[in-house]
Amino acid sequence: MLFQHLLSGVAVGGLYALIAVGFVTIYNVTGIINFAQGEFAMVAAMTAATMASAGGSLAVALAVGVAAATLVGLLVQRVALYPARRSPEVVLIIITIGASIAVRGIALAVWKSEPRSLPAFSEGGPLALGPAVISRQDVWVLGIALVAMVALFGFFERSTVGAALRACAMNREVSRLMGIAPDRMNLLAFGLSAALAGVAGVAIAPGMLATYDMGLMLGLKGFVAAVLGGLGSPLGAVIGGFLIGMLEQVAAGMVSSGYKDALAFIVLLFVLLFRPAGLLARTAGRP
Amino acid sequence: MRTWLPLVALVVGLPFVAGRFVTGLAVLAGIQVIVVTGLGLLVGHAGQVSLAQATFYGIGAYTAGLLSARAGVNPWIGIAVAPLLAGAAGYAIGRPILRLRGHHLSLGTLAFGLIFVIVLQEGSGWTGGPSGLMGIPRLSAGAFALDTDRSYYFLVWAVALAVLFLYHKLVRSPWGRALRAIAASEVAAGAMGVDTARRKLEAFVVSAACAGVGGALYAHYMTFISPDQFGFYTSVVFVVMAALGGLHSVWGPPIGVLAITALVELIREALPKVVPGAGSEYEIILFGVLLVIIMTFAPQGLAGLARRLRPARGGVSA
Repeated sequence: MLFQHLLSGVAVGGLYALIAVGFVTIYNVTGIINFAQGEFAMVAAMTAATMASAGGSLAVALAVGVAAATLVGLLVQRVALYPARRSPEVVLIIITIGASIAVRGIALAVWKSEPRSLPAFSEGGPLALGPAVISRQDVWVLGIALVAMVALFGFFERSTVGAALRACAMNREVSRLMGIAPDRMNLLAFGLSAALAGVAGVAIAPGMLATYDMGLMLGLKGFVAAVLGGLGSPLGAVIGGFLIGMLEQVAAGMVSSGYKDALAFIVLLFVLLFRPAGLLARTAGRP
Repeated sequence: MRTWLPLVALVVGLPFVAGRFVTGLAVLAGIQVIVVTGLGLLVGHAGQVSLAQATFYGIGAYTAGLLSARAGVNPWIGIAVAPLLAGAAGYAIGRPILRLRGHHLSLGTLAFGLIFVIVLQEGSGWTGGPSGLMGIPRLSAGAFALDTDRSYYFLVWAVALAVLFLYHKLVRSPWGRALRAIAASEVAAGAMGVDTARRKLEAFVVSAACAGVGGALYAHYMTFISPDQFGFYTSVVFVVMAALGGLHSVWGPPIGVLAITALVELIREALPKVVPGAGSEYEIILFGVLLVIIMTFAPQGLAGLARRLRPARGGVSA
């Protein structure tokens, strides 16, 4: 029984991990907590669902969904955050809150409040793994999450742009001296994180109905995962994501599914109060 | 003093010149002024951004609602208990949470807010669950029932004006100055001998109590409350009102409430003519966009703009 919960938790954990990595990337490069992260996932899910039900290939719908999320992310950075780039941190956080609300409102205006569905990526029943079962879509989610993380790792470690992004995260001023433009890096960070959130969004959509307000919960849980892992490292975010996913499923199974959403926030409070540097307490990235 | 007289005259005179609809709007606006003034004290003067004001609002509303509707207690007692309970909750939540700074604090308050809504929704037995709490009685003072918009309006605005007056006095007091010192630099204030932890907690408790009073008045006005009215979005609306009005001005909260109320009604009236079938989603978009714009171009809000436009005066102005 416990194993079943843990297994379900690993799948949803992969999603939280993707969103959390996006948070950490933006935080380390720009110094802001991006409240709109969840909305990027929502935009991807809704766009993909709309495209899929209009007929046409699923793969194209997914790609368009992720592209739409990326575009929204870039727009939010350029339109909402760039003009206020000299403002104090508190102001910037409120701006991302405002942006997330605006995006949600636009989604409501475009798609109304009816839920949309996305077909599962492959047909077939759940697969058995020992005493537990895992749905095919969950396997897809896990696979996609792992591939995305490997790709991200490759990007950060092996590519020049990735190295520039990491440099900016480590020390903005010195990076500027090295010829890296921080404004461009901010934009890139947002685009990248939005793309990750978009992938998470389209991956989760088949398992649940997509609605205009799904972004808030997703974003917040991804955020909790990021804080749990310590906002300094993407690896921490990944671990945090899986932990939160598993904890949530165990709580839903053992305690009550209504309160399972509260679990993530209770964890957040605990972490903020007792170990704000997160589980992987290190001083990597922004102090 | 000069500003108070015309303000009181305006408040007293409004229901006699305005229709029923506007008076009803004004009742809600008065309640919001109470809540947002508390928030202004916390965010504007003490510099602590709380995303949980709607939580204390909800605590006040549910306290008043449950006491009068479920336990049959005299509603006036509920209105007195609500700020006490909300303030106590503010103390309980504030003590641990105010150790956090900056965005960590905001996120901590956000977490509490979200947990509160979930608790309200899950505790169907006694809170009425997601469908809400109904049958909250209207207020009455002896034989005189306060069940018209106009009579309730006077009650609400009497409290609102009292709260604003108190705010005015507090801001000019040594306590208020200590808060502003903390907002400017917590470290420096501490070095000057300000007990920052205690002052922040006091501001938090006062802010929560204001929200509690507002919530109780709201419950008795609407006679029906539900968990989704006290969530993250409502907290954000309060923050927008405080920010738009001007976080550092005593007149910020009423200006902000007035501006938002007017804007929302304008949108509701005008929008269906331009875009047929448009609904509340545009309200939501408006809030988001407004928040972004205010924070980017006018972080001092409307009161700040007004101050800049007014010719320079000697002495300290509000």
